[in-house]
Amino acid sequence: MKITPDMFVNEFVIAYIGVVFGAQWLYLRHDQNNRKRIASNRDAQRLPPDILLNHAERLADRRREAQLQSGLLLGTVLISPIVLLVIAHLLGSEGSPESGLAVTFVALMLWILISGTDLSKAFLGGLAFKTVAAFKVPFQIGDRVEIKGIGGKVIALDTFYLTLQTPNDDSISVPTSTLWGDVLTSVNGGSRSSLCVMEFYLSPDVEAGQRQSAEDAIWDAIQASVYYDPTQSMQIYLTQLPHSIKLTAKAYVASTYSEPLFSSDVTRAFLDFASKNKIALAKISHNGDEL
Amino acid sequence: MELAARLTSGWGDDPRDPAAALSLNRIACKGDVIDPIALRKALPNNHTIMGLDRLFRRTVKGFGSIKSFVGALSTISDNVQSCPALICEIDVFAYSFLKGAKNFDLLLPPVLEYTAHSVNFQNTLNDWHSTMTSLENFERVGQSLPPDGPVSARDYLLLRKVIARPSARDELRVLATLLISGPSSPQQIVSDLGLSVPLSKRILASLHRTGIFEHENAIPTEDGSMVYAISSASIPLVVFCVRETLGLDLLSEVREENKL
Repeated sequence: MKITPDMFVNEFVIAYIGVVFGAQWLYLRHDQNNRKRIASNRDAQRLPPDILLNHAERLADRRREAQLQSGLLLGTVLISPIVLLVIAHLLGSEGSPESGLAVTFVALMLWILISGTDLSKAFLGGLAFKTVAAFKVPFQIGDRVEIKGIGGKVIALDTFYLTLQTPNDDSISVPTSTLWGDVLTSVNGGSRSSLCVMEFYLSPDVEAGQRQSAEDAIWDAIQASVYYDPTQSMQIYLTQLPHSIKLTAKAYVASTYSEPLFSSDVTRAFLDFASKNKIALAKISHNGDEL
Repeated sequence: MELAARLTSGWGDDPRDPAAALSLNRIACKGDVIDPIALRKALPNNHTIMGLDRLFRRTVKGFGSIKSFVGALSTISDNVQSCPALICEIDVFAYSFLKGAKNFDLLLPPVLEYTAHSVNFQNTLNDWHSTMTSLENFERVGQSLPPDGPVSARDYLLLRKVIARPSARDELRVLATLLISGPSSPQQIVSDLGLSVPLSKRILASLHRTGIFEHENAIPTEDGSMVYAISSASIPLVVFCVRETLGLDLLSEVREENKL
């Protein structure tokens, strides 16, 4: 088959290209209008702009959005040329639009996959990642994650960027399309709670009764903390180190953002207990090593 | 004779009632130990003990009384096989916490009965869940709250203004304490949370202005002193706010278990 420029100068090829790009543009407009409508509704209810909810987006809503956007792209690229071909035959069009449509389809795919611009690659890579993320749930908006060595709270995940808010309140934007090849660590994996590991060091000279009391004190302190998630299991382990006895407490904090406060609550209670009961603690250097 | 828990909502029980757990504990307590014989003699004829949650506070030393009391009850129930079940009424939030933290449901499983109380309680749980869903939709997309619901937009916005601030850590701790430990005196809030007296007064005053507290003197106490308690109408509002800020979902497990 000889490819000539005339092949593309027909209404069906133009319609095909128009449908593919037009659908994406319409989706973006719809999404923008939706967000404006929500912001307007919230404003009418006198709600401030920040959302109080633990997870600002429902996972079900995000799945629906990702499904719609990727379905739209796939549908327009794969199905619309077939529909246009059927219409062409029904209308009895002159010429052979199927050749033009087929070549356009292949050209579109090649352009996108191989020699497309950074923008289109970013768009497709990001959309694909967003879709997979919605269904496989490696994380969701509001989670604490670590990506590319950067830790923070996921503020937004759109087709082009994943936005993280670091503990220092910096906002970091990571191109979504680049996330495919990276290890992604989620602290809480889509749920509200996350595991908190706390370490305490006793002097190696403490007696058996004091060790048990210390363990009981940590246990009680964890359960008494308002940040503790009682629906999850809790463990305390003892380890003997060269110059100390380490107690490692693993308990779940109900909201992952409260982890520093939870750890602080338990540590304060433990230190108060040790001071009151004159239980010797091991000396630890500023970098966490035993002295 | 089996032990069973009947879940209740609100804190309207009178701790001075002879059938109240506080009264029975006072009668049977000899130093740090509960005398099971004295406890057995003092048990009410209808085998229903009220307000078990009043023996519990969510503090480092707050579990001892309820554990001793229930332990003594289980000793009695093992020895007396011919009587009907011994029912312990306990607030749903205290039970939910104790179930997770202390496996309380193994010793005190929820009673399965189709009575007017159980139906009312299930309806209450459903109403709370419905209210919390409405609040979530209100917060997320600005959908109006039902006009005849227990919580109005004004109620929610008033409380939200207090707890949404990043510095509202102690206010949230007070709310969580009032939900799980139940009615609390100002002294209990100070000692349980390690707050200073002036700070606790400021926090309680700012929360009081939101209208979430029960009317003073509405909650009976052993010595007649004034305590702070979440009003029945405000419970779903407070549970929602505590869930979305502290992540504590106090009703998640209870609701499934109590479906009739």
